[in-house]
Amino acid sequence: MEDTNRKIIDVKNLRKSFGDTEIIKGISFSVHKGEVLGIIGPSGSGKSTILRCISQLETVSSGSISICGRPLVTDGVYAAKNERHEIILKSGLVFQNFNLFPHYSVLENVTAAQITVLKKTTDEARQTASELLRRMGLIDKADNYPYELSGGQQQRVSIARALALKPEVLLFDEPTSALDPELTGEILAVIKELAAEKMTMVVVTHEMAFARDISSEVIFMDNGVIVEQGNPTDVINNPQTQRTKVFLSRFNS
Amino acid sequence: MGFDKYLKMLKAMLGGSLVSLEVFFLTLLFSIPLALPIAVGRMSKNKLLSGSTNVFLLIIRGTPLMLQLLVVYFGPGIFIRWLNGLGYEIAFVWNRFAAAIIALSINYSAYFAEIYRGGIESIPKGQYEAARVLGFTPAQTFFKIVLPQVVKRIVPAMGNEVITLVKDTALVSVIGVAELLMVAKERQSALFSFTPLFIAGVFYFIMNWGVSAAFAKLEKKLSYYH
Repeated sequence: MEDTNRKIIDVKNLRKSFGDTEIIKGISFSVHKGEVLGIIGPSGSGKSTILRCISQLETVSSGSISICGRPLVTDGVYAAKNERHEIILKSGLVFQNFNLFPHYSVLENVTAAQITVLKKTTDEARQTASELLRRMGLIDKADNYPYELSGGQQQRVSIARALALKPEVLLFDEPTSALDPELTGEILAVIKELAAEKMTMVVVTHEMAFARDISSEVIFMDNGVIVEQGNPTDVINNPQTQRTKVFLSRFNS
Repeated sequence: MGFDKYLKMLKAMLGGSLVSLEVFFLTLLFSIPLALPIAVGRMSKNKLLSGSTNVFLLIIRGTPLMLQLLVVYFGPGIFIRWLNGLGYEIAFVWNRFAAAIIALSINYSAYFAEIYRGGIESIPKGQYEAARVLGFTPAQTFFKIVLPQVVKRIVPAMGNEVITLVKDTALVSVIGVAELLMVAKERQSALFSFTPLFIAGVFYFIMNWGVSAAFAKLEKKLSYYH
């Protein structure tokens, strides 16, 4: 049982400013192994910035982040370059706009980092990629190029691409926001399946029902701070603060 | 025009065309790779590096290629003579052909560099971010993710420049390199005939036809993705 109690992500007093504007104003939370953390809140509240700080796409202004017990940044001071490189591989990020590599086939998108970064052989990488594409229902698209796929299919490829490096945690940055409403279902189904397999995940989303159904914990953020945090059914169906009530009023009515 | 005169003219012009072709291919050989560090320097965050690269680009793109040919060919000799005047004894022999290749390569690398820069800057930020979170190093990101996409995007603009280069090879005659147009002019005055100029025109036209076809083929080859 000790294993399931392991902290995969530990964020303490995280602050992030862009110029004079503070986007994240001191946030702390942690995610344990096998948990799914849902982050909800209005646009511009800093949800995505948190994921970008964890994935090293943004540099924090102050605070600490540890991943799998390894400090990425401690009180605003970053770990050495090599350590940061190893930490980056512990997490995978799925973007809102997929960001697939257009010049690579679907299969190559999933093998590229395995070969270049993990130094796997082409055969090994292909085997891993094929398994993942089969799980995503895309094995018949392996030789197609991203532009030939629907948005939902592209997003599934990008999930396979992230999973190919066997990360400890998968971060989703509004994974369905760029999709047609009828395509969001297929992505949500994939994430649900991963949750059932006890994949540790952090999901930033505007899909309230989805956040409630898959999360073990939900954070409601507004204006750079955590306004409400706890059991998903409580936070989403029975919000306590005025701000959360207003935000969720349309969903709950 | 007698047959042997005609044959002699064709032979001379063939020699001239070979010189033009050499100038063309050697310029491409040097300028295509040389443009990459220039483009990277231009985009550098280091103000001194990007500033000085920009000044270099402004000078090269802001002055006539013919002037640059003259400077590269005559400049070193004038400098050496000045040094000798100060009491140094330096022997110096400059090669016209080498000077032509150097001047053209520098000139074209400046234009290519700006095309590369446009291509590199058009790659969406998301591509860099996706590569970064997958653990690619900046060098791996550039060579495996960014550069292949840049190549596709710059092919049409590069095609334009390369077509211009075919015609610009004629300028090296200004420093006495006996390329096709120079030979044609000589034959024209010697034979008092328009034919050599016409043949030269046909040669440039056919050459550029080939260049266009090659670039069309390249564009097609890279059209497997959008």
